[in-house]
Amino acid sequence: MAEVLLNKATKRYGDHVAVNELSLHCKDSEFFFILGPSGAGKTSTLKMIAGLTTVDGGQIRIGNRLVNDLEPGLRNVAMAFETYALYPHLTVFENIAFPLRAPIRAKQFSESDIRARVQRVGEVLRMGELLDRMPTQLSGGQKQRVALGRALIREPDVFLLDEPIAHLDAKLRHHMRAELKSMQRRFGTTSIYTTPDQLEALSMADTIAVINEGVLHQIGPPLEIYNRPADDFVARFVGDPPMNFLSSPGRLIAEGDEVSLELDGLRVRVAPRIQAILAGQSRQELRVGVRPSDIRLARGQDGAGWSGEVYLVEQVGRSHVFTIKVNRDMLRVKTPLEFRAAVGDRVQIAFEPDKVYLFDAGSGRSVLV
Amino acid sequence: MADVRLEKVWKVYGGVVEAVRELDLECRNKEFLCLLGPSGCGKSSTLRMIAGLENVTRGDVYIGSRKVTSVAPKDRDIAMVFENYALYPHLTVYENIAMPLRVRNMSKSEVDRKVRYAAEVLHITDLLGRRVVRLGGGQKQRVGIGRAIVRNPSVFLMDEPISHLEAQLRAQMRVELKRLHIEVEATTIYVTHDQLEAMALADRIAVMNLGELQQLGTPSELFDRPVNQFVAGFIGTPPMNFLSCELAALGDQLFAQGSGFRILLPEATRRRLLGSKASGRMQLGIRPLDLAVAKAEGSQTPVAATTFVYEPQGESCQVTVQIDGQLLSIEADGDFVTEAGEAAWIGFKSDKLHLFDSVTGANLVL
Repeated sequence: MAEVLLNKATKRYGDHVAVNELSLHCKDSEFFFILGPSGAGKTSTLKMIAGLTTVDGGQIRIGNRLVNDLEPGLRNVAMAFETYALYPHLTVFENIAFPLRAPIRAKQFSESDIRARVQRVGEVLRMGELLDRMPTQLSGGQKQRVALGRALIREPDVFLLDEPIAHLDAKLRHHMRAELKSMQRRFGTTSIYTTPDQLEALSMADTIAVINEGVLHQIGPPLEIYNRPADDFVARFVGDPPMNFLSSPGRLIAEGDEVSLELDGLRVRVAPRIQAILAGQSRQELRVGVRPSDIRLARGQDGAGWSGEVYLVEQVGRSHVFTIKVNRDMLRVKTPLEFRAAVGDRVQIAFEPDKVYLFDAGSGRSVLV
Repeated sequence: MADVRLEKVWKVYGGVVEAVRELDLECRNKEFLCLLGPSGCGKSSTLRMIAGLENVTRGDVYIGSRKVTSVAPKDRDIAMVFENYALYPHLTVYENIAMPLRVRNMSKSEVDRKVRYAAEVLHITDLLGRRVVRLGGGQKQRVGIGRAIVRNPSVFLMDEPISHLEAQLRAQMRVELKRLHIEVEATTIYVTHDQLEAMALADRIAVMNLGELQQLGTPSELFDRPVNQFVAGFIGTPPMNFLSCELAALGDQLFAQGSGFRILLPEATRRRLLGSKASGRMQLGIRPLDLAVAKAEGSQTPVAATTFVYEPQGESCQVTVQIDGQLLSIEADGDFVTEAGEAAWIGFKSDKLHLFDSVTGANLVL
């Protein structure tokens, strides 16, 4: 068990700064996620923690030890990769037991010790009946679990996972998310997991660090990242379908005590909670974001709000996702399946006042947090 | 544009591997048909037989009223779009799109007109002067599609054209592809293993498994009325839950009963089942969306369970519960919060229950 602390960790490849003064604190036993698009620096960060690559700046601490110059083998860190790398000629049992039989640990574990540990790991991974199988007899998901078991049998201080389920099909990923989350909780091992998949991070993490181009954008529990994104990058990256951003800037209009938002000729009353935060702020131009399920659609052309035209309709489960052409924007709107509109139909659009996200037009930072 | 018909088509490799088995399929004129299934199901072999890139072992392929079974690919009036774009990397976008037209002895102004039309429809007009090697994945794929559009074929054939792109780009390209189909009104046959893609894009979907057609229908039909357990489990994400159960009659009521639960079946289902010879163990299917979950027992949530894992997902959440050792996945509102080990009570929407034969997998209630 251990905490992991990164203090201004930096990684350069020639001129390219892959990780730029990244500071993170992963608590003991936490399931910590590093979320970002490809090229964000996630794998480089994980490799610095594992010791698979050198650190060009800052400090990395595991437990209380500064590990910058410590060999990977001495950090008590285990890593699981996307390719399982199982030994095809050994049974599941022997694959999982393998690290305990390594020469460096010779005589540390008796045969009955090994048996007990493997059984326990097998149980936690819900693989008890598969211990005698050969890897060729296993499905992709099962092989992944064996790889995880082999990493965890050493009871490392920290478990690092680099996009471990990215290549599995959607159905299996759905299943593995629940399994991995449950497994991490039962093992209690401090775990750091990288992924570009926001759904994975939201469902599984205790804490998420959102990074892009080597820089940290926000750290927090899943619902905080989702409900109170710190900037427009996080807001757009987390959530599916992604948040809509209006191309016209919003302007705050203060009338006495009331603050409202002016958007393309439309006056949007701002919820009291937001009013309180905005009162007294001098920002004038704001970037406005709204999530697809926070937009109300109505058939026809009358009424308040904006008028738009249906550009596309997609069915997703029991919802419709409409792409609506409104002013200069294409907005995606999620509705229950019962709401029907055809391509070319005119619709009215309204936003829920409490569900509008406001960002500084220059920096992109949220003005609401 | 034309319709495409396959009549009792077989593809057997090496006299042994039956990649496609007695396939009868029709793609209507101007329809967007998806061939959907896991890897190895025969969808790519089917597409390649329609293209003429593979010989048909048995059966016939028709494009429009023409039997094209023995016709060479270049004479079938089709255009193909592949996963690897097969573009000329050092030529410009314009040149790549114009390439198929150059061999047709068309006037320069005619070529220009067609290339610009394709570029506009694909939103790549400002990329026409750029060399392909400098484009991103989504852009390259659009050039590939542009090159197919200018040929004005009877049928477009696409083989997993966007599956290798990153999630957000894939979602964007899906919108563009669907919109493109609306504007160009082209008969399109599209192969994918991603059911989300098929559900979003297709007018109809042909689900295949192990070389056989499982079901041909609209997205709604496949989602709500799957003909067998394979289709039921393959379509929809998160996937359908399956529980072992048996039928139990009590007076004039019929129940689906399994370890830890007993659910009253609707009257319509009861009548359908009594007519058939269904008995013994079967598989109960229910989608995560069609399960209710609460912290206390209620009329809507009568079945006791224990939370196995809780996954928040923003507006909704995934709750996996355990009932007597079996796991069930439930999609609930984002406000609902629970944690592993807590008691949970669940309810099944009885009009959304499916029952499948344990052996054949056939839907017993359709």
